[in-house]
Amino acid sequence: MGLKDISLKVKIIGLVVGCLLAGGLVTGIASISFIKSDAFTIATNYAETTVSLVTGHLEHMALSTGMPSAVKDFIDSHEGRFKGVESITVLTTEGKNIIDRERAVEDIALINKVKESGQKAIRTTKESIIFYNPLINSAACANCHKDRPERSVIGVARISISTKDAQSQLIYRVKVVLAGILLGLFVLTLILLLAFRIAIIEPMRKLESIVMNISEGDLSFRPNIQWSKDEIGRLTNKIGKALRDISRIIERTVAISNSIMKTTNEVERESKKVIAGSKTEAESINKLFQSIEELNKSASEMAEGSSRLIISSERAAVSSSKMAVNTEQIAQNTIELSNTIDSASSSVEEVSAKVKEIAQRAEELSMSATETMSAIEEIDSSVKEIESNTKESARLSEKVTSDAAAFGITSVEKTARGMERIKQTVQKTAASIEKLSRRSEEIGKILNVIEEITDQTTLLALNAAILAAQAGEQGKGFSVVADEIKDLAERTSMSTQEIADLIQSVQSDIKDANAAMSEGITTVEEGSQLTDEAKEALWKIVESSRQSTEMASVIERATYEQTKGVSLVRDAMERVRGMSVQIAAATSEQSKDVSMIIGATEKVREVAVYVRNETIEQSMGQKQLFESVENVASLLQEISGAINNQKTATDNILVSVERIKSLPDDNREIAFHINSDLRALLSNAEILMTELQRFKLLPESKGEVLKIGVIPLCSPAEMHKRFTPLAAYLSRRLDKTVELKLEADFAGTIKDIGEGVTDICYMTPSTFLKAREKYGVEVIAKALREGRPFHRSVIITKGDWKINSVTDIKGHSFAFGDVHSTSSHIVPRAMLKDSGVDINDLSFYGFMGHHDDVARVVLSGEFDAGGLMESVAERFKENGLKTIAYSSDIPEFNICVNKDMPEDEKALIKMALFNLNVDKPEDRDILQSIDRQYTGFTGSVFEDYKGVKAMMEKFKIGVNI
Amino acid sequence: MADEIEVLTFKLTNKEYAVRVERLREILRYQRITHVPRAEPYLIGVTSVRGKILPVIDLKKRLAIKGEDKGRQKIIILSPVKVDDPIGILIDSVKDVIRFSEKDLLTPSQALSKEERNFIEGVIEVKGRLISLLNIDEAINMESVWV
Repeated sequence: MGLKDISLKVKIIGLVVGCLLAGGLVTGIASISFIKSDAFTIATNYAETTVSLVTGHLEHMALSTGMPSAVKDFIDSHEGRFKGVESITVLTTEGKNIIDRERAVEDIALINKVKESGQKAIRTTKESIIFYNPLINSAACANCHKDRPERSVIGVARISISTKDAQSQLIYRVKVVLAGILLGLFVLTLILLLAFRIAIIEPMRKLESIVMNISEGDLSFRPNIQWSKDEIGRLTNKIGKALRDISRIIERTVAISNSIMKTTNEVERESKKVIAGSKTEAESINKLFQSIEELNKSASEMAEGSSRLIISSERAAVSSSKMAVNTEQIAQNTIELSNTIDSASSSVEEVSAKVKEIAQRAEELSMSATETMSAIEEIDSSVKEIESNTKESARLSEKVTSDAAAFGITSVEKTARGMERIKQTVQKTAASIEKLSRRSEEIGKILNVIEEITDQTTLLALNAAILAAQAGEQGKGFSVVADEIKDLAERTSMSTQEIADLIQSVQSDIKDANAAMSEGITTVEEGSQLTDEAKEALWKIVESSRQSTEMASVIERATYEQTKGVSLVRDAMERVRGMSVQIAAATSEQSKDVSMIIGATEKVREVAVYVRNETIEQSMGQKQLFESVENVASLLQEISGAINNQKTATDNILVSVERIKSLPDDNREIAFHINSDLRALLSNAEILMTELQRFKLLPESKGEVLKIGVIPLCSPAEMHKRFTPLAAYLSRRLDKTVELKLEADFAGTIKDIGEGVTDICYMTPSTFLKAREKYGVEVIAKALREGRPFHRSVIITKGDWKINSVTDIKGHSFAFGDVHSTSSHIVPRAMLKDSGVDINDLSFYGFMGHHDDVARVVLSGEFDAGGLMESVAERFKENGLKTIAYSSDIPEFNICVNKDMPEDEKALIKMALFNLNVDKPEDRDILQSIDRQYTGFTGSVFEDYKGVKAMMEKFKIGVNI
Repeated sequence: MADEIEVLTFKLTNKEYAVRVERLREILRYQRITHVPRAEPYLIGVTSVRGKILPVIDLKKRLAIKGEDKGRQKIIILSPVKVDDPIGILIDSVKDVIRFSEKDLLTPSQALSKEERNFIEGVIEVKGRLISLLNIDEAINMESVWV
């Protein structure tokens, strides 16, 4: 057993005891030696005192008696009288005992030393201290010891003091001290051991056991918070934390491998189904193959039959075509005959027609002759009318001519002459006015001159006045004259001004008159021009009436001749009419004969036509027959072709089917492969599971860590994101580490809260009820959706789908969320039931898991309809989701706690949840992170969920979890 | 008779003004005035009177009176005190030479500025018409004319 194998405890004890022993020994020895030397010194001091006393007595005795016998008595009497004095001897300087001179010389070396130095000497033996005190030859002594020099050493008093008692006392003390030290050491060692045990060994042992447990897979270690915060404490805590993390990892791994196993099982089941399916597939393909083969056979038979049919129909066609040729020849001959008769008949008809035409023409001629006659009559009468009218107009124009010449022209000419006179008069007046105007202008000019002169006069007068003023008194008379001149000038100026004004008005009058005159002249000129024009017009009238008179007489003559012409025409027409009547009579007789001929030919033709029609019909029938035979042949050909095609098609199908036949085998093989792979996977997963089950995982802490479970409404990642703010908030409020636990499914969530893996959990109503039923989980709060503690389920379908009400869903597919979900399964199912749609009425249904998935499969068309929470449906509304029904209120999702949670902690969590205020921005973020419509939490009790419980019981959901 | 004043009244536009006769030389009809380049705007130009060249001032412009020329314009030849050579002033029309007592001369309104009062010696009322008697030496500051 080497040093390595010794346990830590033994090592520590050994070390401690060794150290203590060594320390004790050193201390003991040191203290004994110190005490010893101290005790010796003290003893020596005490002995010295005794010795000096004894010596004094000796000297005194010697002086008082001077007899050695006295000394002897003294010694005898004093030996043992002083405590510790062992013996008293007086020695001479030669070492002789003065009492017993016979004794051998003793201690001569020390005596000599004393004698020389005059000082006492000390010798120690084991059990005593021996003092050699000098005896000095004092004045008193010299009486007896005259032979000795004064103050010399005459003898030595040897006093032996026993140290035995002191020594034994000392040894006793040392023993006591040593015993004390040893006792102390022992106690100390014990204390140390205890301390080590508590501080290190115990924790270490615990750690050891923990690690042992860990190595055996037990990870359920929980570091005790009371542990010290030293290295071991910290180490333990770290290990605890690491274990917790590992636990979480393992949990997740377990969950994952669970789901792997589940999935693998499912896949295996599925692949089994695939194998079974492919078997059936192969069978049905075989059947199909057989039927196709049969079909092929029958098609071959049909093809054969149809070829035979074609041959026979072809034969029929040939014979019928021969027949047709013969019939056609007959028909042709008949047609030729008919044609000949036709041409004869037509020539007769032509003749007849011509005769008829002539008759018609003659009649027409007669008629037109009559018409002509009447027209001519009309012409005649109108000509006569014209004649009389012309005569009248000739007379009238003649009268016009004479009248115009007689009155019009003369009066017009008179007017013209009058006009001319007016013009001349006006022109004369204008000239005189012009003259007047010129005159007045001249007067104006003269006035200007006068004014000029007046102005100058005034100026002169003023200048004179100025001069007069400057001249003073002398100029006074002159000034008066100047003033008068000026006044005159001013008066002149004024009257000139007046004249000027008058002339100005006259001139303006003249100007007006002038303007009037020239206007008059232009008027007169215009009048005279008009008169000329009138005259001319009058002349033109006279001329034209003269011409019309002439014309009228010409017309008169012409009409007369015309009348004569008309009479001639009338006579001619009369003759024409007579002739045409004769022609008509002749032609009518001719027509009668022609009619007879026509009747005869008509009969002949009728016969010919009959014959021809008959032959044509026969030929037609023959042709039809031939054509139908031909049709039959071609149809047969087509059928044959089709049959042949069918046959090649079936052949192809056969080949394909042959190939398809091998496919299920391949599939089966693949499925088998998959299956074996799966089995391998499954066994691996199982191994992993058993491996993992070896770990006894840490049951979730009570106290320092609060674990929140969250029901997986949508993907776990999304749920984690949604609840992270709430977890942070609770951590802050409760001053605890809050961990979110991701749940993979509803069942796991229920199990975790029930078994205390999670402390609190966000749950749906139905999961809460199940958790309560199974684990006694308690509800403490429910969420408020837009201020109300309720939400609704909806039934959705795709926007463009034909389903418009819940009853329409019958016979369609339906998607639910999780089987444990209230709003995506239980309530929608109840809604279906209430509308008379049993779950068995659906073509099929499925559980999609999350609400989002329900929305997605309905949108993608995998399912016709689905049931989910209203808020999720709202989110997908813009993608084309249609809501067709809403449920009644369902209590909102809630916060549940494990049944073992202490009341005070429940109260704290409740307080924290109820304190969330949607009006505070930071709290609103927390709430809306969970659900956009959440506005807070409120208290809740089991009674809120009784309605859901009833529904669940109705559908027998949640019995087995 | 020392308190009698004789003045020549004349018109600028339709307002009457007067000037003491002592200053006057003679009144001329309007005659040709030759423009002087670079002269002040109110100096119309120069004209010749009996062989002597005189400057002619447009009194309306000088006195900053706005209005059109009216009547037969005349040139009054004056002898200013400060300068020997006489000068002409162009006016619109002459009216009269009148005589009145010095005590009838009304002092101009104190409301006028000092500079404005410099041009007017006083106001005379004749038959209901108010005539301003010009302080002609101030009105025609010859130094500014001959700059």
